[in-house]
Amino acid sequence: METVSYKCINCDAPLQFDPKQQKFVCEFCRSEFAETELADYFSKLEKKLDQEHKKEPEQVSDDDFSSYAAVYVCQSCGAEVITEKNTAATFCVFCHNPVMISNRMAGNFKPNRVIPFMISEQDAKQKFLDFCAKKKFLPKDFVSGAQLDMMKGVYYPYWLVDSLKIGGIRATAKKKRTWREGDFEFEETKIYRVIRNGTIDFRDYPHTALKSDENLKALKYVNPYDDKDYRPFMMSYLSGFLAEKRDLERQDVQNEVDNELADYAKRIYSDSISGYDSVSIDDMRLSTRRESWDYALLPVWLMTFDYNGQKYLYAMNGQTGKNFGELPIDKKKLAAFGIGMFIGLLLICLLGGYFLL
Amino acid sequence: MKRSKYIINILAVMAAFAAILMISSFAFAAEDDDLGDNTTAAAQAEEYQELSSSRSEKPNMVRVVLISLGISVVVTGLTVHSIYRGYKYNGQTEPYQYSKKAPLQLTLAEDELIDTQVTKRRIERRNN
Repeated sequence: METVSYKCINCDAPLQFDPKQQKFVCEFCRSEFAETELADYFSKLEKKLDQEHKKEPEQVSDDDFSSYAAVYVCQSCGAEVITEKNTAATFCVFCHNPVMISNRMAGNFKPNRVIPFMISEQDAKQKFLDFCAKKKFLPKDFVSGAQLDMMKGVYYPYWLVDSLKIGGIRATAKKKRTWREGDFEFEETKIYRVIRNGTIDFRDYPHTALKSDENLKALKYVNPYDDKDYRPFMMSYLSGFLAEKRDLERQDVQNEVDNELADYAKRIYSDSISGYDSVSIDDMRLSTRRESWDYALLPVWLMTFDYNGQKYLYAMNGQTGKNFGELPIDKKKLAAFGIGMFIGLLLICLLGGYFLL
Repeated sequence: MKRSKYIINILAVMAAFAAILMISSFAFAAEDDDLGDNTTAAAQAEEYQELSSSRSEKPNMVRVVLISLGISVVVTGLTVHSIYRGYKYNGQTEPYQYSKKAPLQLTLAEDELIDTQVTKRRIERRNN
């Protein structure tokens, strides 16, 4: 198993990407390097890795163990570490050295683009605390240091689809007008046949590239990401984070993406119809003129936790800080609030009723 | 900053209470209207006299309690349900900004009038 660690050019200790400064930092000698300063070092390393991967693609044997896990040797401490089959970047469990499993991000599996983490671990934890502070019905012991330590930064694989669609809709729209004349009320309904044809240029439509992940819902709703921070993929961005390799190919998700884009197309064409009281779509036709797919890694801060035997998930967009998650609710607190509110309302209504009648 | 938020919160609560009072008064007023609709003018006048004399002493407390209970149950239920949903599906917003990332270039926009229907209805006038 081919692994790579990015080392400090001053002291040879592991380098990590710092989202706050957007620099690579060494925790041992406190050196900081901008991407441009390490460009030579990185490009030499990446070139060397590319050549090695051309010679030796990842060998996958048929036995059960290899299909679910892989073993690598940590370059820092020499320990043998087991990872899951889709793990592409992780830490050595013994010396905490960041390790990238390079042949899982090479060849066909090399992502085209990446958005580096923009929110540091400290900021992510603070945002989570701020988010929880607004939630008055959280259990008291929920936000603890132990929970916060479970927050991890993960690069998740996505397909980004650019698709130029051509088509249109036919709809029936109604416009109503009422007026009075003497003792009569008139209602006029004008019925229109509406046609909208045109091209829709979908750009960077994201679809997760992981097959069976319990976090799929979170991976959908941490979107959208901002286009401005997309960069060509470099493995060095993964240093200090976890990363997953895709296990869904384009053909596996093509139908799903087509259906989702058709739903959006319907909404887009409908939005172009205005000035009516009601609109009902009769039919829509849509075809693809051209399409291209990019493979990208996008940053997510993730926290899963058990509370009273139930599993909860909290995810944060590692670029924009958008939250998604299920939170436990203190049912006793909510019940007390409900009873208090009910009694308060009842008193107000009784008093109101007494004085108004 | 915090103080202004606190004042806004108080104003919001006061506005909510005012709204509830208004809703309850509308409900009570509607009850009054419903009473009159199904009776004849003579019977209505008689009933009105009876009602006004009895109400001048004390309001119909059963009706007040029932309406108050109804309003309280519905408003509390909706509030508790919306809080619960807020914890369950936090941040479930549109994942793709199609209005920004998927521009539409129209090649044909046609609106053709195909039919006009007019209906006529006599306005019923209330006797009272």
